[in-house]
Amino acid sequence: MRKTLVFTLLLALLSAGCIGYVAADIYPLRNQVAVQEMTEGAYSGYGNVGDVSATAGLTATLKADYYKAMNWKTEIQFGSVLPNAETGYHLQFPVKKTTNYLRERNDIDIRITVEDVVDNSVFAYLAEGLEPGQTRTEKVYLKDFAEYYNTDVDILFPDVTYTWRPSDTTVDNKTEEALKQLFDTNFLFPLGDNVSVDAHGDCHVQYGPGYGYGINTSSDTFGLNIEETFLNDRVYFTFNRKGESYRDLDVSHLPLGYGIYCLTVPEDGSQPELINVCSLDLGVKILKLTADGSGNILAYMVENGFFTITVIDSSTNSVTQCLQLTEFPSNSPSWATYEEGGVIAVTLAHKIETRQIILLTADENGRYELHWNLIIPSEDSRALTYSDETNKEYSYDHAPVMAWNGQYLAFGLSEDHWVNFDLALYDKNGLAYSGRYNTSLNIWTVQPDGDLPLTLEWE
Amino acid sequence: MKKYLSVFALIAQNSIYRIFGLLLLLAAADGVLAWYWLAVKHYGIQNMFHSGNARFGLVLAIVFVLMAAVQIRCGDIYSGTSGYTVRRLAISEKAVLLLQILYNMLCWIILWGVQVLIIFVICKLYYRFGEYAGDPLSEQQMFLLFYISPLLHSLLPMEETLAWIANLVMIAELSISSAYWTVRRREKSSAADLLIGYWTVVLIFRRELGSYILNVIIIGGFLIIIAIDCWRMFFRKKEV
Repeated sequence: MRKTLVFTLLLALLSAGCIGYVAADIYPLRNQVAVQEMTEGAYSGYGNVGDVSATAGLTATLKADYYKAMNWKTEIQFGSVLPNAETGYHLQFPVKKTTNYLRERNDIDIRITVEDVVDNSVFAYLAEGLEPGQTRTEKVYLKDFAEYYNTDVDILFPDVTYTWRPSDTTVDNKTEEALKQLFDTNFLFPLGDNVSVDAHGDCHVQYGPGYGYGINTSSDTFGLNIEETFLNDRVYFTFNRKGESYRDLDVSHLPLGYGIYCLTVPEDGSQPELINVCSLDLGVKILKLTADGSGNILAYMVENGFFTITVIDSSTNSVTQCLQLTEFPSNSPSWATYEEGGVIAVTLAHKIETRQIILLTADENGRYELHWNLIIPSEDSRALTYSDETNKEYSYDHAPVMAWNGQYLAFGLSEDHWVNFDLALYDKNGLAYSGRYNTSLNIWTVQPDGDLPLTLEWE
Repeated sequence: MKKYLSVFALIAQNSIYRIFGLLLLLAAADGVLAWYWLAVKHYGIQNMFHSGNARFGLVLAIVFVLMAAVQIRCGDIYSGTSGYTVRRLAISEKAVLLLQILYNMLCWIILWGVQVLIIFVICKLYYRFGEYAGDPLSEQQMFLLFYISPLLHSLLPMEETLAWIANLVMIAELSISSAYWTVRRREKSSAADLLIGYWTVVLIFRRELGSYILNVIIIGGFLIIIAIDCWRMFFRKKEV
């Protein structure tokens, strides 16, 4: 009996000890993120190029999480095959499981619609003389009733959202009311001659006559192809005259003219303001609007067949530079841009076999000037991403990041759903180093941070 | 003190070797499963534990049910040859019940600890001798497994204090239920209502990271059941 007693107690003690031991053995691993350069052959198709010592002095910060509950921030110092990594880890609740992993971003959407451009009552005649149960339909050209489309707008600032629909009879606040007024008076797009709706009248057995109209395929309701960038309480935006579902938009009725607009929505609740800061030619194609981090707004455009950058000083809202970079072929080449602390890099894929990297650096007056214009073979174009066919800038969820130290231009690109990344260094002669780095967080459901998974910085 | 230890030993003698046999069964079944998924199917340890299809949870549930059955069937020391010994020791039935509850608790802790140890050993062996042996990137993944797999996380909730408390409350409730079951059997009254606790544990033990509300419900619900069972065992009747 004593044996049984000892056996039972010993077993219980060992089991409790096991739980404690295993927890104590595993828990310290929480911040032991390991990062390793994958050598040739370890990852099919990614042979490393160049000497890893070129990366000495470069630090990458990699952020990853497991449903926003387990969070890692790893600082990786390069220079060797097994780079030095230090990780901060914290656990926070709640667990946020989302199917769309990307965070909501600053955004402005303008939809042009025939919704509510005419009052339903004008179609009352269609219900006249109908017997209960009868209906009458008629194709109606809206041009006969109204001059302009309505706008349907969503503006998403980081902390506040303004949104209104043509059918809204009330708005949420005075700012939204003022914004609606601004958009209604400044974004006037004339209804085309062929824009029609299906108007109908009926006579319901119980409720009597009714009438209205429905949007059909010829109604030309579409979202503008907008490029925008947010800067504090302002949003700079413009739109292309050609979009996925429309072409040659008539902008001749816009009171401010066609251009890059600056909408200021003061946080103190005072009157919003909309101005045109840069008029655009009708033939221009807008690729991207972005802020350069030095107080400038950069507008990447194709103008007369050339890739151009227009620099707008956000403090004065005036154009300070128009830079013509290179020829932009008509066959919709892929492109990408990077902006970081007075440096702009543009990558362009003219042809299948070559790529181009254009580097601009700011002088002491903050004016950009050409630093490199490199043509490189496509097999040496590592960690560079290019737009997809519809000219959306990146074919990836995460944009690549860039860092420049005066000699090397480093590009880093995080994988979409795995905590791994590519690193490439270019100098004036082309590709100096490229490597692929895998981490110990490379496990399904641990994801790169949805906003900015990777940043690069030179010492 | 000696008489309490004697009674405790009597309770243990009735079932501890059967329970030990179940633990061996658990280790063998888990070992076979690990061998099948890792060595035969090359499923990878992440997939094996993460997908939930590897049947480790099912094996644990079966062993859990068998263990509960052993506790219930062998828990009544008033029947059989031990009954005479207990009565001679002049120890109150309440005290015997408390010792039974304590013993049951130890049994559940043993099952918990052994299951954790088995999984830990499987992981260690995999990372030492498996396809990624020696890979510096695989070291940390054991930690991640214990968060990402609901079964592993429920067994070892790490920083999730509420999940630890929920586990302990479940153990307390199961221990009390098993002890109370033997009383009800002796009284020849139905104990079907006590099954609720066992089934609930089988159904909800696997909890994902951050199952805050579920843990609160478990703690609250099981504490209520514990209170009811204790009241019925110790206070409703003058002496069971």
